[in-house]
Amino acid sequence: MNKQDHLSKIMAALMDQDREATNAAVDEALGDGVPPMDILNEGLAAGLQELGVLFAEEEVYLPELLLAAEITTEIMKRLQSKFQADETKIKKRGTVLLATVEGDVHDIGKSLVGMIMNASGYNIIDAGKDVPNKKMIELVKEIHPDIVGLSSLLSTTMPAQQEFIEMAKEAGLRDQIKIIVGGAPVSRDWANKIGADGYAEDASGTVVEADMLLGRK
Amino acid sequence: MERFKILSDADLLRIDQASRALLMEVGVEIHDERAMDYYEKAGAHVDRENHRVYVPDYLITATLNKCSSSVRLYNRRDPEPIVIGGDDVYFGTVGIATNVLDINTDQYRAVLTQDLIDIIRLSDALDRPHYILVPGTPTDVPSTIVDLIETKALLMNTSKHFITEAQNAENCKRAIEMAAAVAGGLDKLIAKPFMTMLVTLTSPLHFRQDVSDLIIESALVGLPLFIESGPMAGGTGPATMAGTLICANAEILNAIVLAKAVNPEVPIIYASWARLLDMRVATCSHGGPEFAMLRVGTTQLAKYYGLPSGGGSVLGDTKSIDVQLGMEKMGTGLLPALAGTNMCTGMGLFADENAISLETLVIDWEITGWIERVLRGIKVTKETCDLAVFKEVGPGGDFVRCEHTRENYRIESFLPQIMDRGYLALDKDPLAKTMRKRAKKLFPKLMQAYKGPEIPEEIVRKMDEIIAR
Repeated sequence: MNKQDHLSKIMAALMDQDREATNAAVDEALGDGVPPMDILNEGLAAGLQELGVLFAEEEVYLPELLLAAEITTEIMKRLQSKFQADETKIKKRGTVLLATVEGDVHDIGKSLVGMIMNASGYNIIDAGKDVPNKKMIELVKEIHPDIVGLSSLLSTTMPAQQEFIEMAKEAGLRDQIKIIVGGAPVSRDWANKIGADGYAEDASGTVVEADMLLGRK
Repeated sequence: MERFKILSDADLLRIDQASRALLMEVGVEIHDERAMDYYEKAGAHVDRENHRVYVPDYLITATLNKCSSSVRLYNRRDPEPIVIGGDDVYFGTVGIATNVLDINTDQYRAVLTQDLIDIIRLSDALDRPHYILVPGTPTDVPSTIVDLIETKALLMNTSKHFITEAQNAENCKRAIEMAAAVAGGLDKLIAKPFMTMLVTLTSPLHFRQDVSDLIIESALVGLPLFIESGPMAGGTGPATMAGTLICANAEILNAIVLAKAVNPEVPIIYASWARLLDMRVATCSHGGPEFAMLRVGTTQLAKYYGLPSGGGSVLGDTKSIDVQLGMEKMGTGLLPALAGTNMCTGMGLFADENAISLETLVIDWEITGWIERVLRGIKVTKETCDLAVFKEVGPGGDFVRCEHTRENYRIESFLPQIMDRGYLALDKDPLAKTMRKRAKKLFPKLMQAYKGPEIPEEIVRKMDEIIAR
């Protein structure tokens, strides 16, 4: 089997959300010398990306998408520990600090974004739900994320996204981070209005937006 | 699940008594000598001079005793029939309509044979309808053979059970001959009939020639009969709902007496389109609350007699595919279904019976899926009440990632295919994902993967010869 066959096999097994088959295909590929980075990016992340598209088209549903993300995350952890010291060390695409803003406890969408981004190769720090902006500023200082993602499901909590941007400016942190906003009532217009860097309407859209903001695509 | 009822036991008894009295005191007008002979032999009073038949009470009881509580509707794809009876609900198409709302142009035009074929094939591809009542009347063929063209289109394009019509004794015989050719013999067709004959009675209390022909010819061979009566309250029936129920009920019972006099073995489905004459616009209404209530009423009457039930359902008066369509179709679909109407017949039809379309058929497929989910009820068992999953998730967690969710959500929820439940995309066109657009998109997708039944060349030739005779 050549490299492309291995990657296709991994992708197909992941798209079937078959944990065993995906793990077996990954091991087979490693055995044949396929670089771990390629397995992650061109096998697993590509499969997940495809599932994300099918999810947007209502061909694949949420529990299956999450299962595929979970399988990917597990494999990623396994590969990371295996290649930690190696020169083939897996490079993360970037660190993302995620939160649902203060006053808002809706976090299924935000967690989905976290899982898909993580499975796509981003390092995810999930601050949780109902997170005060003050806490977020402290976390930015502490973690130095490349991207901050703020989710808000209620129109009444959307202003917290704007407030965070103002607070980041005051703290002199604005230039150090890219800010992506999302959530049901949020739009690109709103993102532009409050001076956010990006907006995404779903999990796979967030990966695309993040890649673009970090100059990866 | 508890069955929905609108009439009490006392109401049903009163309607039954009145219907029986109506048949004896007023009688039914019949001109066909053959039918009169059968009625007379069975024990009815026949006034040949005045063309009236009066069926006595005891004969109705004796006839009902010859009826089965279920009818087995076979098909040509699956050895198991659908069993019509009890409280099981099935959905079917209908369409005496001669107009089609074109899926490409959004304009009305006359139904052509190809439209009929398209709608039959779509019906065959979708899991609902469960059976196909001839869903359109082509206008591009001579009217003397239009019923035969319809039957041929059904035989050629669906392997589901279908209900067809015939306009006279000769065409009825020819339809049976065509179906027998496809079945591989009349004995095979009768043993496992995949074709039912549609009997539409005329209100009030008038038996057309073609109706007696159709009942007699079909009953002679033993094909199932879908006997329906549709008085219009205030027009061809009394303005009271109860009076219209009495009218429909008496007409159906009277027709069953003839069918069973011809052949006691003929399978019978008690069906009705009892409806309303809209006094403001002088049209026949199928989308209002009365229509849904009358269907619940006729279904209760069928069950009162222990007969399989059917009739108009999932219908609408609207002339466009709009909010009214959704409201009317859901109302006239859900209520009869909750009442346990065995054959809810109306998918695809709208514009008060005057138009069909591929889009409405897809929309009705979604509506009936919604209704089927309601009929499945809420399963309360040791398994569904198990607390293990709560313990796994704990307070404040989410269930979306649980294996328990993956195992159950598809069984427990109706997963809509054309209803839009996506997020509110503020930047995008709010009409981008309307049900109509999604229905239009689904049609070619469905048909791409579809493969219809295959009928051998020589059988097709034989059918054409029968039609051309």
